[in-house]
Amino acid sequence: MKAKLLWAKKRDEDDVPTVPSTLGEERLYNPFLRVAEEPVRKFTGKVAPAEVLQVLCRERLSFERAAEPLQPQARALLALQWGLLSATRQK
Amino acid sequence: MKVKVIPVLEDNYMYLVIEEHTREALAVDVAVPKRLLEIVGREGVSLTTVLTTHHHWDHARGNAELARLLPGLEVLGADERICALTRRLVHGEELQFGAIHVRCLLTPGHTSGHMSYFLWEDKCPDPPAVFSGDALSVAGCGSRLESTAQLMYQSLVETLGTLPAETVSSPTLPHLRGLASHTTEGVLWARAHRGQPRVCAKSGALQRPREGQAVVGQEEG
Repeated sequence: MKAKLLWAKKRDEDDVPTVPSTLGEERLYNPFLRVAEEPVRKFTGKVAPAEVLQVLCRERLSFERAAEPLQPQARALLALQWGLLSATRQK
Repeated sequence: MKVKVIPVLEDNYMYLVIEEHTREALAVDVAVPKRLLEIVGREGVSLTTVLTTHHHWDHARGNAELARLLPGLEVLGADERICALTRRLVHGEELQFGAIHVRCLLTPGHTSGHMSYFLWEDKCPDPPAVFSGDALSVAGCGSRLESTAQLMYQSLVETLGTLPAETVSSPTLPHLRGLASHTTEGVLWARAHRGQPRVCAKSGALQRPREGQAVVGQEEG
């Protein structure tokens, strides 16, 4: 996994694509393909593959939310730009 | 079988698959038709078919324009919601383009009508390839939007996960941030990339490390 991450970083720096990989590689490091394996079961605290998968999806979502900066609502910004918010204030 | 990887929309890829004897070409997930047509022109191939993995705009929005520009174009996929679809495919169906075979694998999870395409060529040392759209990515998978976890498990582990180990996996999204989430070092790195496009490239050659693999061309970004 660390080797793959290093590879990806290097390719990102060199501005070359990070696809493809092979199915064999994916089976080694892709947790979504490894739902029946013990370490992944242990991490999720589940045994049934579908339940393991569900927990992984949830974990991934929370990771992505943590990694993305909070974006102000686009519509709210637009409303501000168009002066719609001040109109509300005048009421 | 020659596969051109075409980076589009900051963090997606389109693919152009060329049958080198007949010069026929198929495209997978057409998001930006003009860009695809430039490459089709440069390669001097005849684009006859589009394989769409699922109906989302970043995979199918170029279909209508491409069909308008190329009369007679076949637009194939498994979901009626796919823009400009000409024929709906079913799971297990096999298509043939010259020496290239395509097996259609229904892989619900991200969407209910998500199809992955497994391609191989007769009498050719190149490994087979799977175009998995948003079903399977590098070290991850697309989010489950429309199917049960059980169906998604079957798609990932039983349908895609049992393909030969040497199969070249060509997803539409690289999703490498998912990989980053598995190690502390990776998390720090992903944080440093906050707000930037996902791990991907705007240009560059995809060079194969080993001989005998499908030739992948270089495109300008």
